[in-house]
Amino acid sequence: MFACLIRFAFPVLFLALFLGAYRLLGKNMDRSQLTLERRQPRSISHRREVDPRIVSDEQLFAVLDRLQPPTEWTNTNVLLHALRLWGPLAEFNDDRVPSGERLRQYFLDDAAFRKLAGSDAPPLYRIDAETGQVHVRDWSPADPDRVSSSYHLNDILATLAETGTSLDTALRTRDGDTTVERLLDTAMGQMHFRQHEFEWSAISYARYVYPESGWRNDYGERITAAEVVRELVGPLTLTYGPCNGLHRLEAMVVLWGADQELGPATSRGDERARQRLRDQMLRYMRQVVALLEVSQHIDGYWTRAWPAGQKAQTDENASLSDHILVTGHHLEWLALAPSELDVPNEMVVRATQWVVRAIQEVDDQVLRRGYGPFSHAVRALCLWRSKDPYEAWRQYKGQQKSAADPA
Amino acid sequence: MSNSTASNSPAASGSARDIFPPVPRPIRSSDYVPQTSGATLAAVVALCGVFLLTSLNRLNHTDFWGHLCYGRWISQSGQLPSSDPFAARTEPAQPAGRFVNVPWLAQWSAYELYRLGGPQSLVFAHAAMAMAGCGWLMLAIAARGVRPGGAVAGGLVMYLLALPTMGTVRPQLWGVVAFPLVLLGISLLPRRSHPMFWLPVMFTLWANLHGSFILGLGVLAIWVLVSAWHVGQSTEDVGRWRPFWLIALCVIASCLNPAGPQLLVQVASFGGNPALEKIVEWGPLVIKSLGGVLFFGSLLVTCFVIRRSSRQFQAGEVVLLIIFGLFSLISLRMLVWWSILWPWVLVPHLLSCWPRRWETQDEPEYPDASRGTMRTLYALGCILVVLCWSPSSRAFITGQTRRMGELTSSDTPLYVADQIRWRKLTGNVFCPLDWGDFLIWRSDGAIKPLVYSHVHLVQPEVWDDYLRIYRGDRNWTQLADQHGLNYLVLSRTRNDTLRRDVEQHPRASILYQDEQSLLVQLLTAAPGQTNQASGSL
Repeated sequence: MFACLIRFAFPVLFLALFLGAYRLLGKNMDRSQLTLERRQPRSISHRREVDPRIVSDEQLFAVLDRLQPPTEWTNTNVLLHALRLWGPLAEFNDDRVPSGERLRQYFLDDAAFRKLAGSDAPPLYRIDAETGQVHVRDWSPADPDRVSSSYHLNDILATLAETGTSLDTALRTRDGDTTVERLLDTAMGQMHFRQHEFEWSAISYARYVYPESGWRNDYGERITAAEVVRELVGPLTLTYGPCNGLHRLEAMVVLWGADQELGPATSRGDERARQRLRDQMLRYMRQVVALLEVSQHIDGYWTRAWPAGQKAQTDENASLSDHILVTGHHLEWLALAPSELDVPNEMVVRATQWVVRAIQEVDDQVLRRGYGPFSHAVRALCLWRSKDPYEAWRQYKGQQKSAADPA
Repeated sequence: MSNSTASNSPAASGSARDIFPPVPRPIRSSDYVPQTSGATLAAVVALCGVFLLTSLNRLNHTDFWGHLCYGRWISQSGQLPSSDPFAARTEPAQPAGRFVNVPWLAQWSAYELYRLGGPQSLVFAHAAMAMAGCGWLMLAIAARGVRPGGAVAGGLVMYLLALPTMGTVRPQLWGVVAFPLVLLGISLLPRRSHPMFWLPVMFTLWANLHGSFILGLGVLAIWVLVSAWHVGQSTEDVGRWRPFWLIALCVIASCLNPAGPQLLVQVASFGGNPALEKIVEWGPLVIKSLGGVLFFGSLLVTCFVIRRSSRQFQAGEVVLLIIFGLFSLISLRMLVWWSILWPWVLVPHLLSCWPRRWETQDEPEYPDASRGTMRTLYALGCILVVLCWSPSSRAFITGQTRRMGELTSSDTPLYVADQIRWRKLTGNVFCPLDWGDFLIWRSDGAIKPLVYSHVHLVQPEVWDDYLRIYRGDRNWTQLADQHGLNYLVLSRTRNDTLRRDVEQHPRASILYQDEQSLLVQLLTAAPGQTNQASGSL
């Protein structure tokens, strides 16, 4: 009887024992959660020799002075670009011009947001009561409140990262207080490789999260650094994506810079993997630079048709805004490009000098309307001189003041 | 034992070993471990393989979610729907009283299972049901007097033939489990009476689980009637009326459902909806497809077996093969029934082509019982490995929840459905019909597609309008207004013409887009703009 009982129980006990052991082991194998080790975002800087011919201090001051933050609120996108250009420390000694901190608070505090966008503006962030995720109100053409929305997916998060915002920074929304960390957590959880406008997600990833890789997003899909790079280097066309596809290149150089900051790899396998990523990005960038050399107009600018090579020089349909948009964005990523990438200095000098002339000559109305693209161009000039825009502007202004009033 | 001890002793080594070569030492059978035969071990290994392979399938993005929506609806309301509760129309698709939701029990049980263990429990159930179907068929073949090895091979052949249709979780899977049981009942009926009890019970359940019960009834009736006609009425066997009683009982049992006997008529007329013709899996079998290759391959084998078999074909076998062969040619969806019936009919004949090979047996080198313990351990080891490998069971064992992106097929509109849910959108929507089910599911029924996978419920004129919008007809706005559509969910690849028009259209506002889909809000027409084609085509 006992033997008979044991005979029946044996298979069950056998399986239960081994499966129990497997469960204990399996618990320790779970690496699907994203862990954020750093609190401060990475700062990516210019890594080339500074050539003063690119833009003089005087020219830099002149263009910066024209790009001061707007005195009147127009839309969220303009404020985002202003914050990105000037940084949170900027002070303009003029009550009408919002300071850098005020600009940053617009994105961190609903009270500051409502002060500028209007008290009846719908909130910029919404906290999901179930999950605690922080969702940003995104832009839609039919939305009557679109001007106060976020224009591109995760562009706010990427800008907060660029301006050195810690993950512990408080985010005061209409639904309650949270932190920037939750905003990042939501963005990384929602990140996937069919995402439209993937660029700002990649920038946020590079500045806050890299080299973390292999976590699973909210859908359970694995997100790896290799996949992020594959997504960046594998567009349908070179101009695929917002702003002529040029934020893709910006994301690439930021990711490259983040990788450089890591220092040498800890193992040979890791080094090989990282080298593979760098090679893929470098190949893509070389292809672009080769096209830029032949597509640059004699005056120094590029047009939206730049991937067409030489033919792009005679693009009659392009407007000044187009020229500024494309040239500014190109100069910006080139300024942060790795030293392994050969960027002809003459090409850069011609482009920067054209930008300076264009900004000085353009009237105020055009400048305000195209604040975003112009701010990219001016930021590029500062990067090429390895100067912080606000510091460059403040120092030159100080010098001017002391020259005018030696006493 | 004493011999073996002596031969292993140091004193006996050397010359004695040369003279008497070592014989295999039997492993003692344990009284505490169940004994497993070679055939059982083969069946366990085969069924584990079926379980593992099936569990690699992901939840399909098509009608599976629609059925789950019905299950949720039934579970939450505590009643059965009297009309289609999910489609974007105000009038019922069928005249009142004619709507019959046949697989209500399968839908309800799937939803309850989902509530218990999440979506991965359904992947697990899928694998378990495929395994059960194969297992029952092995028994059904063995019950026809075939050696166990042949029966196991028959079960595997069924799985192979059913590959094109086996990967989808849908109520039909209950039919895959029940259909071999009918064949088992038929095989046992001449010798045993117990099928008289469990087959009617099974038919009651089956009629409430899936419409394929009609095929089970058909097989039973054909087999009994043809066999009776073939044998003739001269037999004086007292049990010769038993099969007829069984048919009657099964028919009565099938009528025990919410629709009563009307269900038989409804199910028999199911294929009549013209919309089904446009659905690939309801279309005829294409030779240049996996299903086609497998089906026509099985036909070639059939020809060979007919020529070589030393076993006489019964009339019932021939009639069933012809009928189910024709069904499969007419509709790919019927291939699954062919895949179950064909091995059951053919394996006994196939094995009779080489009778000697299957009859010879190796003399056991030592008592079979001593191998039984090891076979049990091999079988348990195999089960263990499969449970740890299989993604569905591994998730349960380790307690790691798999999320939707890991569980669903790549065509599932995950991201756009998430946007609809997050934005709390409600109203009528146009979307590719195979996406509709998932959108209903994720929006908790707040989104009502013009057409979703339950195409048999769609009126012909709605179906035509759906196709026109799908192809990007010039008058798509007019059709959208006619059906009160509030949103469009477009596939970038499949609705390319419509997408290009929508992107430029003043009444279309893109709320969300990714590389798979677009979510578009249809704005109210401005005066003079109503029913105007955009003219960009």
